[in-house]
Amino acid sequence: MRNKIAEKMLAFALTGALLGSLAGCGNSGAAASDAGEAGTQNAVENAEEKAEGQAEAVSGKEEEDGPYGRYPETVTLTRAQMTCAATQWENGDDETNNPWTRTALEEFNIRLEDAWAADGSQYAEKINLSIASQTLPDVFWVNANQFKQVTELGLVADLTQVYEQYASDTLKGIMDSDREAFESGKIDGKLMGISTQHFGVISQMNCVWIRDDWMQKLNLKAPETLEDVYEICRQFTQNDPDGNGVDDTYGLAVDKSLGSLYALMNSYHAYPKIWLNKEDGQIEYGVIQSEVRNALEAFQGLYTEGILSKEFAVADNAKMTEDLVSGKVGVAIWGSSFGYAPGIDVIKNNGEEAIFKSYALPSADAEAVKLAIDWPVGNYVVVNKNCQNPEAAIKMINLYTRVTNEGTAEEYNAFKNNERDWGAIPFQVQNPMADYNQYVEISAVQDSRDTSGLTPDQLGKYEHVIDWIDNKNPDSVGQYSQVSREGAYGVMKPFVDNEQYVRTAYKGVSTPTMVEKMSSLDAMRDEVFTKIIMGEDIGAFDEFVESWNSLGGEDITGEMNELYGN
Amino acid sequence: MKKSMGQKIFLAFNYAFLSLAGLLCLLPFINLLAVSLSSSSAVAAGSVSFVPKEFTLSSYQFVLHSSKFITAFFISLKRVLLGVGLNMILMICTAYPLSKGKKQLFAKPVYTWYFVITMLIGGGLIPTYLVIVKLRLIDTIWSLVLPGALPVYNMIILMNFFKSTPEELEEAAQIDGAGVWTTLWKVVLPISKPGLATVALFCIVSHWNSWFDGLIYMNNPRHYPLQSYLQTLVINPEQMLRISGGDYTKILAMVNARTGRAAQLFLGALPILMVYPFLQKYFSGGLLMGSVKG
Repeated sequence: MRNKIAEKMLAFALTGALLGSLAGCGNSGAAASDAGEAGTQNAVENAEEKAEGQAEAVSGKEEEDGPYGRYPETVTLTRAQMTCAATQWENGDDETNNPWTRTALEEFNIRLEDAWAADGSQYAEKINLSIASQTLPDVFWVNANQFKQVTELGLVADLTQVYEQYASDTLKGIMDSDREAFESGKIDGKLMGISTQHFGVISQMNCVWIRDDWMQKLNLKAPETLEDVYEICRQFTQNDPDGNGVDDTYGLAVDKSLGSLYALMNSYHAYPKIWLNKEDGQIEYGVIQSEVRNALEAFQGLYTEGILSKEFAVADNAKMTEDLVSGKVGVAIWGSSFGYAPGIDVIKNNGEEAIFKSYALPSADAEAVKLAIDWPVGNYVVVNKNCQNPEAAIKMINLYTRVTNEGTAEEYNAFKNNERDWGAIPFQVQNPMADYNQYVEISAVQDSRDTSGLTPDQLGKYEHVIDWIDNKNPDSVGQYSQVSREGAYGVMKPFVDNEQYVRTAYKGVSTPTMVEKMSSLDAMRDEVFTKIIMGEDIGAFDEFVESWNSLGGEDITGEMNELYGN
Repeated sequence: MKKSMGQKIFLAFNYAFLSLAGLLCLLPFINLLAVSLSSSSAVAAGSVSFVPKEFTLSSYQFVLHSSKFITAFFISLKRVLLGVGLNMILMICTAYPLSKGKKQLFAKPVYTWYFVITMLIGGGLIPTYLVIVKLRLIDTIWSLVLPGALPVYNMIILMNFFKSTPEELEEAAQIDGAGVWTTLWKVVLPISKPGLATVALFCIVSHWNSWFDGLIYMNNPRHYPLQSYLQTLVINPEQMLRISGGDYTKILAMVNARTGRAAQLFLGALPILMVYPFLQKYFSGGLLMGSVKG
């Protein structure tokens, strides 16, 4: 107990100290900016000259130097590596000596050195510290806010030319599959950072998951409208779907974060957590739109009917999961990963019949549903402006995209399995089409079982899909409910194909007032919405919109329009 | 002595109440142990209370699976030995003079405030990091041991303890010709064992439990002390699905974050639990019993 208090006091003191120091940085930064600008200008010019000189030298040196060109002399590249404790290396390998580092040396004559390695949870913090202490390695990852910082400070190199010259076709294809994300790495037309891309909009989508054995027991049809979904919830609440004679089940899984209800709001054309590009060219936050009000009114009805748990306002994610796993609730609004967790535990506790099946999120009216999509890019690969060989970073990214997208099964296994691809950070760039293609390819060969056309990542998931179909192995239900023909991606694919989604106007860089006030505005949102759902008058929503605006929301909206508006 | 009825009833209630209070402290720990020994699906269903369900050691296997745990354990051990040794020396050397009166120590309030002010104002994360970098302590065990080598809060506890020791004993020693160091070493410290044991325990616990500095100051996960390493284990399984999107069913199969966390908490707390009984006797061994007569 003592310790807890001491810890809290320490945390408090540290936070205070950190805030103090940040404020200090801000002040001194402002004072120094005049003097610093000239210096930065010089540095940028120098870097440009250097880059030009290098390009000449490179093109003069070797004719065939391209995406996979080998250096005649060993080039050392220092990097900031992100590690994962669950990585299992083989044959005594470790973070500094593994298939990635060996291939870099053999194929390109690049010696990779760790300036430092940090666990994924601490990486951003370590980057902040490295920026502050001016000890940045040659290549590293930055998040959007850090990207803004390092480019403004002129710490990173312009990659426009080396990207054009050295990026492989695979890499360029990956960048083309989400142009907007790629473009976010450009500042004033210059490519300053390479977006690490993402797993595609499909991986962000939500759908309705319904417990199948309960559906069959109560003779219910697959839902087509939102009212159908609610009717199923109602039946699950009232008609004892588990057949134990006790009224202990309810319809829809919700926890105190209200996450599943926020996802469900898409059915009402409300997008409470993203920034919307309105028709008049203005950017507005989704939570204050009137559609949210309609959704809340409907949710209030669900609560009154007992379709939501009476305790949802105090249930954390673990408690909600517990209810799903122990068979208390039969409908969830969730992403495609539902089958992995909690899906596996659901099957283990309730048997194979208890599988949750996925259905498209239906619309509350005649207008088609669009799903909310958050800003997907987490990181940018950037190269230190003092690095002599910025093209080496591009070559390494080429290697990563080749192995993970076009590699043989053996290569894929050696380089990627058991989380070994973390060893390639910061050269990791994801293919936004990978998940989508997994579904397309795997569902196509599910019956014929002709695996000749599958890439290694598809083959890995395919084997689990077959394992579930043939053996009903609970550990394979995740892949089955995601990428099989009956899986969630099948439900979501039309949303991608028909562009039935709304992308946020926010691109990862937070505005000053956002940093300061967004979290308390979000807390207020959750609090007010919880009260409304539990029976408070819907007029509270209008009051909420007013206070949202006056407590900082208006300022943030203004800043957002300045930053991202046209 | 015979007890009256009222006394007996009081005693019965007292025992019952205290056992209940004791149980309240113990039960969460038993629950933790049960969770760590159960399968993740049983835990996810919320059916584990005090007896493990679907008994499995896989959480422990997960936590202990690589040589990393052993390496991290020894780094932690090294840290505690070095750190607590240094803490004790510096604390004693600071607390003893400060426990004396103004006449014996010139400008005592200045010294006292010099130390106390560090409790109130810290340098902040980034400036402290810069100092550590410039001193080239980064990525060494010293970065965990030297900052905070003098725990001021504990030093003040010790100082107050020294103040409460009888002046007469020291005077007697001085009359017998003992110098300052001899007095401290041969007279004050031996009668201060309870105080020393208390602050030593605080220091051991804080060194053993701290994880944040390890994550910040170490440039390689292989240099993490145990708690930093365990921290990375707990956070990551949840992150992994989002970052790697894929094939980590093997880990998920038996271990979810909750059983893994329970095993981690239990393993992490075990060494401290084992140290405690050895220090316990100093707490109960009566303060200054029989050292001054008359």
